[in-house]
Amino acid sequence: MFRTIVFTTILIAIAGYVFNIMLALDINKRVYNHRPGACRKIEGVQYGAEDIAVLEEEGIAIITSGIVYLQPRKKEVKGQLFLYDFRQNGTWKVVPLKINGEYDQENFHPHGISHFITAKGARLFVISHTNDFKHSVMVFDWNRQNPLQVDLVRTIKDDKFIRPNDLAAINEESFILTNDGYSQSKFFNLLEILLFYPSGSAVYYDGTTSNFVILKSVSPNGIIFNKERTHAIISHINSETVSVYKLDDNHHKLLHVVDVPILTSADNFCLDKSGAVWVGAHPIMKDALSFLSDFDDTSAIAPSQVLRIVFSKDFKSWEITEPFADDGRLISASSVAAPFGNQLLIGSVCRELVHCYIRPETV
Amino acid sequence: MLRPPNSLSGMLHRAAVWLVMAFLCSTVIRFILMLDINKRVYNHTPGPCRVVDGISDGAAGLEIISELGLVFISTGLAGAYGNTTSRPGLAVFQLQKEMAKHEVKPIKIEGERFNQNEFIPLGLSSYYSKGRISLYVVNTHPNRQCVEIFTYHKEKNLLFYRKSVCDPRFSSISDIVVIGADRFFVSNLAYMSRGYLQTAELMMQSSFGALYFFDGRNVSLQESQLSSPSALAIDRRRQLIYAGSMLNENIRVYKLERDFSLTFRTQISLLSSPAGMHVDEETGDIWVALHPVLYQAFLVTLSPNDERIRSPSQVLRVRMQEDGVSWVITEPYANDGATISASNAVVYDKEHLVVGSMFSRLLHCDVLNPSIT
Repeated sequence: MFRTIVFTTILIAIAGYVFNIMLALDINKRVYNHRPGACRKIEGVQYGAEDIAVLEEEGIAIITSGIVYLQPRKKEVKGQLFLYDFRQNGTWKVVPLKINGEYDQENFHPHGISHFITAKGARLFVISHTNDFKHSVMVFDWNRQNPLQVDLVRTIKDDKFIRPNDLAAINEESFILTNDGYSQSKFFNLLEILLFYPSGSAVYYDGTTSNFVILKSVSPNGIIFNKERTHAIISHINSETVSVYKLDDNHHKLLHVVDVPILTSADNFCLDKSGAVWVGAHPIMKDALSFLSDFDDTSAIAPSQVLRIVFSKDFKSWEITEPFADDGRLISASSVAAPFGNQLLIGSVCRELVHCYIRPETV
Repeated sequence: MLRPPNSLSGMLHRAAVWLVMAFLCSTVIRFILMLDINKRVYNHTPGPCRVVDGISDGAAGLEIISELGLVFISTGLAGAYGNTTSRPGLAVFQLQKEMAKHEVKPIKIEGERFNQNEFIPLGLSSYYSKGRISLYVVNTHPNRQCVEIFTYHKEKNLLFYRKSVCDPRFSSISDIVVIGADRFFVSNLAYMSRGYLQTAELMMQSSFGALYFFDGRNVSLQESQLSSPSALAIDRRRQLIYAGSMLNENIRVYKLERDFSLTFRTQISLLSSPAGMHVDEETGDIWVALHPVLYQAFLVTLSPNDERIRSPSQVLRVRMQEDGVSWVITEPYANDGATISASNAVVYDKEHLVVGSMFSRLLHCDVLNPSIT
């Protein structure tokens, strides 16, 4: 009888676990299309637009393209930074940025990006992966006098950059970076996902040394600071939550404030003028995982979603709206949404960049 | 009683136990998935929206006469869920090109044989011919499951009671669709009447719902073994009947034949629970009002008057493609319940969208980009 009890308990535990996986994979969900206004794909971007930095005063966006993640891309995929001018009228074009400085173009595959405004323009921090998935943070200066070029200042390698995904710049020298997991291969990454293992972390880099500010976390992904730069907002992509942390004064700790259960897999963030948080999301996990298992399979599609989250002053309450949703036919696996006035740029992990006009009544 | 190991009856017994356990597990898992506990909606609208004045007691059924821009509204459904202060009735809302006011007018009902005390309207359908408006109302009162037939007098804003169609097989009729003068299909949600037994029946995800047809004289069973048929709609131009399933979260498409029989054509999976449907005759688009999170809709029915208990609202539009067997679904409206709770009915006409809730408000929206929202 004791053996029966043990056996039954194990069986119930397995059934519960399988059920949790079913819920996590979103098998009973689907996406219903809607748009905030007229939308279109942007020509010239076809291998990804994983993250976007919006330079609000300049009216431009800088877009990372050509990501490598856990697996190599096909030969023609080139890692690039693109510039989009929101003030262009009647055209929707991106321009590739020329990179001045010594770096290995073949092994340049930009991922997360963050910027800090400087006297002459902006300093850009870009996470880059090599073809065999080694990681670094590349530091560029963008100068408004030469808007189509960036100067490579230096490349940072650190053993705490385990599997970097996104970062948020604190000043011209320091940033906080998220490691979305620990493993460096597809198989072990799948294991991490299935076990909900908190193998992710967040790292504060002060210009010379690094410290963990979050030691164990489930898949921290996008990170951004609020307008007043008192709090960090981090998405946990596999647990479908967005967390808010308070920054302590010397940036050595992130103090947990709240978890927002958004029930969709949020990726990267942008802020709009009013301080609202815009996020690109993967609403159906099973489709996203299937799509992202091969970045270069052009026949696959995955749903896309853009959410806008408005937090109260103390971050204890929030309001979520959905400006955009698509079943994958216009844009697959959206990862970031960059608002500027009545315009919205939506970037995807490994494929399209889409521009939409926003009619404010619909958001 | 212990059986010896390795005996045939012992093995059969063990296999039977495992089968029963597997069945129970799968039933429980399907039930939990049905409740939609991992779902939510994120608010968005197709354009400016406003709450319509004059409705606070629900707008669970809507019917539009496009030629006149008239929207008929069922109110007071809470009376069928045990609320004694609710005053069930019917109201009308006039759509205009430029609407300065958004207000409904209650409709008075006349007729000696009509019993107002046993009247809780739900599904609505209409027949408009030669200037004469006939309104067919599903009466979902516990004591009287009938289709009440009225004639609407526009100038006086009056409904004249004409007759009733009742049948002992009507246990929980919910929606109706009229295909000609005094000819209609009506959906029966479940075998049991509303109450604990019906809840148990629906929890088991049984398929005892049915469609009945009234040919002007007799009621006949037209389609059975349906899972919770909740919403009906007709596309008269294309002779199609749509039946939504609340629990299976799909829409069954039937061809309406000349002899009024139904031929099953295809099934549209929504993964959200349809409660009310409307077909835009011009385009053939199907507009669906749904409960995207079913357990919250259930909680709302337990406490119809408690404004703190809310359920999300959702409107989808299904556009059939030319081939007739594929479709595109868009979501013009979604709300977490703060503006409109538990959407149960929808009508659309010329960029006017009207969404009715089970027990609270009626919402009117302008649709700014009909082709892309």
